[in-house]
Amino acid sequence: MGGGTRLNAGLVPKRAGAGQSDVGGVEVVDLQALDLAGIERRDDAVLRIGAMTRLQELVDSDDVPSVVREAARHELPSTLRAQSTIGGCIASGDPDSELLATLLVHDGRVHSTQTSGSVEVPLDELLAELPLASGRIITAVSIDARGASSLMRTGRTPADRPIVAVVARQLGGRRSVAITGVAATPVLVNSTAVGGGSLLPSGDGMAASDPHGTFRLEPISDFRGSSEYRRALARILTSRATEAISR
Amino acid sequence: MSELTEDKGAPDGGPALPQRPVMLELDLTINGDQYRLTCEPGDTLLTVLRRLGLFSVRFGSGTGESGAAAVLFDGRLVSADVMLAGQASGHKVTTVESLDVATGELDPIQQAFVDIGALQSGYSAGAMVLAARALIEANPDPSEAEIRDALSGILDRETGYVKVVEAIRRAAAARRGEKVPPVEPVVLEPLTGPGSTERRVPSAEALQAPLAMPHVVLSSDVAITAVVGKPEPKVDALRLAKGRPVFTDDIDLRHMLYAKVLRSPHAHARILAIDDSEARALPGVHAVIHYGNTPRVKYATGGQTWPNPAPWDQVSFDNKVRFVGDRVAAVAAETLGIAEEACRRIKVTYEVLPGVFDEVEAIAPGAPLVHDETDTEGIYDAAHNKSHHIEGQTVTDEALEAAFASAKHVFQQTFHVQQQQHAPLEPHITIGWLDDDDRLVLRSSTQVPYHVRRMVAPLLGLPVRRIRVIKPRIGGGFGGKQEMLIEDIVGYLVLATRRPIRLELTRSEEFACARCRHAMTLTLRTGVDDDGHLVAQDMHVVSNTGAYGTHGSTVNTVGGMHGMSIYNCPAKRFRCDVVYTNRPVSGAFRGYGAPQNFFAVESQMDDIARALGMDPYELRRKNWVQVGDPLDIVPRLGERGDVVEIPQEDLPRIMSCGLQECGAQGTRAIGWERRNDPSWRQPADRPTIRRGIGMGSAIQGSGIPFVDMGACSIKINDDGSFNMLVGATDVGGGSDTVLAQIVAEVLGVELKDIIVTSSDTDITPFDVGAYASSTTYVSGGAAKKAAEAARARIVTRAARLLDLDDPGSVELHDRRAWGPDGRSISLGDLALNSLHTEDQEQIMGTASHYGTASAPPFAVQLAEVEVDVETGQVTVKKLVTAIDCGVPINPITASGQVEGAMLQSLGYALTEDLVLDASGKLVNDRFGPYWIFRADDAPVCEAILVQTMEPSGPFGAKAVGEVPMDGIAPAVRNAVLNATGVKVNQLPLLPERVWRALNNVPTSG
Repeated sequence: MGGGTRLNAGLVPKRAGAGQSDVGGVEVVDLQALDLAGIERRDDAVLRIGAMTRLQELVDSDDVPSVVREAARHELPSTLRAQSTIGGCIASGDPDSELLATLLVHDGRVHSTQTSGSVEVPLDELLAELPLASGRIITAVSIDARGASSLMRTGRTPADRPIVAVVARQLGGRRSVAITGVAATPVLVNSTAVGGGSLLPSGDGMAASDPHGTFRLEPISDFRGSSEYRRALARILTSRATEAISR
Repeated sequence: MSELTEDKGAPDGGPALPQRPVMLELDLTINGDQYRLTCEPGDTLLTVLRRLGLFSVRFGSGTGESGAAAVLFDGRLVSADVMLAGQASGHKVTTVESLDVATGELDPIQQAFVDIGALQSGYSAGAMVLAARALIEANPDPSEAEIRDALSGILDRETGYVKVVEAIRRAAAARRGEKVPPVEPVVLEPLTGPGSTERRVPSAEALQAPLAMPHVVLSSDVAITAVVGKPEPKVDALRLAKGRPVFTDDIDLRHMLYAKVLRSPHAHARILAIDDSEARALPGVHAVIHYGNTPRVKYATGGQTWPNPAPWDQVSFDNKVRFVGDRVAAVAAETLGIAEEACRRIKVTYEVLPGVFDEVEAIAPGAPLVHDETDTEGIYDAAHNKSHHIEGQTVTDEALEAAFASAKHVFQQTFHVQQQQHAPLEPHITIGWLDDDDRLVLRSSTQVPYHVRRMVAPLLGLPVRRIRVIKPRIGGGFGGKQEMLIEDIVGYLVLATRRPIRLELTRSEEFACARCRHAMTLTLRTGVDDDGHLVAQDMHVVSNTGAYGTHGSTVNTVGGMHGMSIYNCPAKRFRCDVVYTNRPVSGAFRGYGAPQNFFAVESQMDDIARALGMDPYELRRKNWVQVGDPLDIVPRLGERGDVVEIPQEDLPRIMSCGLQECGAQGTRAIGWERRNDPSWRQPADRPTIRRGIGMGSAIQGSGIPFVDMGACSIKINDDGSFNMLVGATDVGGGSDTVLAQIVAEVLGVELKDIIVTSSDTDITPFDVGAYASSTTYVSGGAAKKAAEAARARIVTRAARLLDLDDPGSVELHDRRAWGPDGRSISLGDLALNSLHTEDQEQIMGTASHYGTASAPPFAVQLAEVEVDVETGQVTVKKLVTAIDCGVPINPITASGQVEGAMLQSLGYALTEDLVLDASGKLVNDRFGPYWIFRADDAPVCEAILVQTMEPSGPFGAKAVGEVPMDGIAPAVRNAVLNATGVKVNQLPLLPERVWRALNNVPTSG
C-alpha cells in the first residue's frame, strides 16, 4: 500500500486485488518506510519517478512534462492527490486514468522488485498483466520527458473523469497516442488506424498477429458513454490531439 | 416466471467469530499533543480521531470522495477516511479543534467563513477551514483557480462554493494585511416598474463587488428595519466554524450497539424464509429483527402532517422486497463489523420475481405487480401499478378541446427526467436510547422531528408521550430527510436490547436506499395564438414513485400545480398517474415535483418561441402571471384540493410578483443579447464550439395553506436577552437565524440577544418541519406573533415604569423601550423589574401560525453554455438566478440558498442520475460516478434578490429555498438549443445524448 486511497476506499478493481470496502481479511503492507519517493532527472531525456511519489508532487514539479502534470491534477481532487501515489495509480490500471495515458505516450517503463530480483518492463506490458503478482512491488516509473504532448478529453463536466481522453506525443518523427475509456486499462493505439475509423492496439507484435485488423478494441458501454460513442470520441480526440502536437 | 434462490450466508456456514486482530500501537502528534494509542489494523484515521472526541472530522463517504473527513497531515490536506490509522503513526495531524484557543473568538479564517456566510449546515466546516489554512500558508495570495483547486477535494452540496471561495479570498487578504470590505448587500437599480431606470449597466461599485455579496434590487414599499433584511451572521456560526460536536453522530454513549441492515439483492422477490440462527449465535450479536419477529403495522414513510396520505403501503419488515436495497433484516451488535458479519450469516430464501423499472412499462398490460399484497388500502389501481391518479383542470374537457381547436398553433412533446439523489454530505443517522424514565429518545438527522415521533409510535407500540425526538444540527436534507427512514429500526432495536443503538447509512445505502427525486415522463400539449399568448395547456405525467408511494400524491400534485401556474392561460388541465416500479423509492426533494414539470413547460416555451420566430424572453413576458392574477389551478390541485367549481373571486391571487424585474435583471446579468450575435455564438478561433444562452422561469409556494403550522415561544432573561424556542428545523439553510432576526426586529434588540433552541419534541413547540418552503413564511409568522405577544407585555410594563398612559406609544429599539418624550428604559432593567422587583411576571410570548395562503416566490434563471458540436460536451460557463422571495430576511443566507440550488440543479441538468443495471442494481452509488459538482468545475453563479413586499409574509418575506431549483435544467437545455439548434428532451444532458441529437444518431440497442 502506498497512499492507500484506493485500497482503503475499496476502489481497487477486483482483478487488481482486494475489491472490498472492508480491508479485513486483506493483508496490507505499508510501504511508507521505503525510500521510494522523489523525482529524479537522470539525463536530458529520462525522468525517474519513485513509486511513492504523490500525485501532488507531480503537479508541483517543474521537471515533469506539462501534460503529465495536467493529467496528475485531473486524476484526483486535492485531498486525494496529497495522499495517492503514482505507484498506486499504476497498480490500479484505472481505465479512465489520464495520468496513465500520459505515462504511456512518454514511454513509461515500470521498475519493480520481487524475490527473484528487479525487473523493468514497459508500462503497457505491465498494465496488460495486472493484477500485480503477489510479492511484487513497484519501485519507480521512468519516462522520457522529451517531446511535445497534448491531452484532449470529453467528460460530463470539466473536472469529471473523462469518458474518453486521448494523449498524443510527438518526438522527432515518432508519434505516440494513448487512449482512456476504451479498454480495461489505458492503451497505446495505432493513431493512423484510429483516424481511419478503427481502434487498433499499437505494437508491431500486435500488427503482425492481426494483419487484417480484425482484432479491435471494444470499448465497454456504460451510463456515461456507449461503445459506439466512445469509439467516435476516440477518433475525434485523437485527431485533435495529433493535430495539436503537429502545430 | 419466478426463480428460487437462497442466500447462503457465511461461506463455511460456521458460527465462529472472526479472529480478533492484533492491535497496533500508534504514536501520533495531534493538534500539537503527543498521543500513544492502540487500534485495530483496519481502523481509519477518521475512526481514531473521532474516538478521541475530535468530532469536526466527519464521515461523508468512506471513499475519500466527500472530503468531510479532511485533516492536515504533516501540513497536507488529506482524507482521513481513506487513511489507515497505522499509516499516520509518527506523523502530525491537525484538526480544526486546534484553532479553538479562545472562548467565543474565532480564528481569522473561521471568521471570514462566518462573515460572508460560507457555512450553511457546516458539516464540512472543519475540512474547509483546514483547506483554506493549508492553502494560505503555502500561497498567501492564491488565485480563484488555486482556491477552487484546493477545495476540489471537499464536496459542498449546499453553498455552490461561491461564498466559500470568497471567504478564503478575504481570509488571505486579511492575512496579507489588506483591508477587507464589510459584508453588505450590493444594491442594484430596478429596471422595471416605478423608480426604474433605463440603465442596463449597474454602477461601477456593483460591477466590482464580488458575486458572493448579496445583490439586491430594493422595493420602495418595504419599510426600513434594523435587523430584518440585514446580512447577519448565522446564530449557529461559531459552533459550526469551530467544528463543535453538534451533529447527530457527535456523541459518545456508553454500551452503545451498532446496527446494520441486511438489504435485498433482488429488485423484486418474495421472502419465503429467513433463518437467523447463525447470526444470533454470533458472539456480540444482541438482536436480529425481520418480518418474522416484528409486527406488521402498515404505514407510509413520508414525513407529512396527520393523517399521512394514502396508501400506507409499507411495514417495517415485509415478506416481499420491491427494490435492490429494500429492508430484509436488521442486526444490533457490539461492533459494526460483527453486525455486518451477522447480516452475512442470515439465510434468506427468495422467490425471485420479474421486475419493472420504467414508469411507462409499469402500467402496460402484463407488467409485474409491485404491490399485490391484500392489506394495503388506498392504492389507486394496484392491478396497473398506479399508486395515485391526480387530476385538476380549470375548465371542462370539452372547453379545453375547444380552446385547442381555436389555437393557431398546437405543440405537443414528451420529455423524460430522471431520478436524482439528494446526496447530503451527512447521511441518514439515528442514535436511540432509553432515558432515565425508560422513555425512548431518538437523536436523528431529520427534517421532521414531530412527524417522526407521531409516526414511529404505532410501529413500536408506544404512545407518543413515551418518545422524544431530538434534532441536532443537520448536515443537509433537501427533502431527503422529510421521511421516517430508519428511526423505527433504531426504536425496535433499542426496545429489544435496552442498549443505545446507532444506525448510520453508508454512502452506498444513501444513494440506493434513501429517497430520490421522481423520474417522470411528461407529455405537454400547448395551444398558442399568433401573438404567442397561451390559449390551452394540457399536461399528462407518468411519474415513477419507485417501490413505495411515499410523497407520491403530494409531490406530483404540487409539481403540477406549480408547473401549470407561471403562465396565464384560460384553459388548463393536469393529469398524472403515479406509478410503482422496482426502482429506488422516490420522495420529497427540493422543488417537490416542480423541477420536473418546469423542464417540460420551460423547454417547450423555447420551442414555441423558436417556431413562432419570437424571442423566448418576450414570449414569457407576454404570458407570465402578475400581481392580481388568479392562481386558478391551485385550488383544483392543492393538497386539500379536488375542487372544480370555484367562483373567480374565491381563487387565490398573486399579491406580489417580481417576475418582470427578475427577467430584466437576469437578462442583463447574463448578457441576453449575445444569443442573437452570430460572431459570439460561433467563435472564429474555436471552430467546434457553439455558444448559447437559455432561460427558465419558475414559481413555487411558501408552505402549504391550511396544512403547515409552526409555533414559537419566547421569554425574556435578566439582561434583556431572550430565549426563543422553535420547532422549526434548520437543515443548514439558516432558518434559526432568520426566525431570530424576525424576533429581534419586533423586540428592538440585536440578533445576538436572541438565544435559539430548536427542534426537540420535549422542549420546543410543534412545527411540521422543514419542507414545502414553509419555514420563513409559516414558522416566521409564528415567531413574529410570539415576539409581538412578548412585546405587548414589555410595552405595558415600560409604560408603567415611564409613567405613560398609552403603552401603544412605546417603541422598542436599541435594546430599550422608548416613550414618545424621548425617555427610555433598557430592556435589561425592565427584565429585572419584571422578574424580581414589582408585580413579578415572566415576560413571554407564545404563538402558533398557519398559513391561509401560500405566497409564491418566483425566479428567472439563465445559463450560458458552450457546446462542442463534435463530441456533444456541454460546458456551462455561467448561471444567473434572479429571484423574487419577497423581502429577504437575511440576504446572505438567502443568496447562499440560491447559489447552492443553482449548482444542485446544474447537477440535475448535466450529470446526476440513479442508473440501474438490468437486474435493478444501482451502478453509480458513489460520489465519483454519480458526480455532484466540485469547486473546480462549478461555473460562475450569480444570484440577484429582487425585493417585493408580500403582504401575507412576515416583514414581507416569501420562501427562497426551493424555487431556484426549478429553472436551471430547462435553461441549460434551452441554451444548448440556442447554441446548436438541437432539442434534447431528456435529462441529464449527457455528452452522448447531445452528440446523438447533433448527429441524428438513434440510440442503439
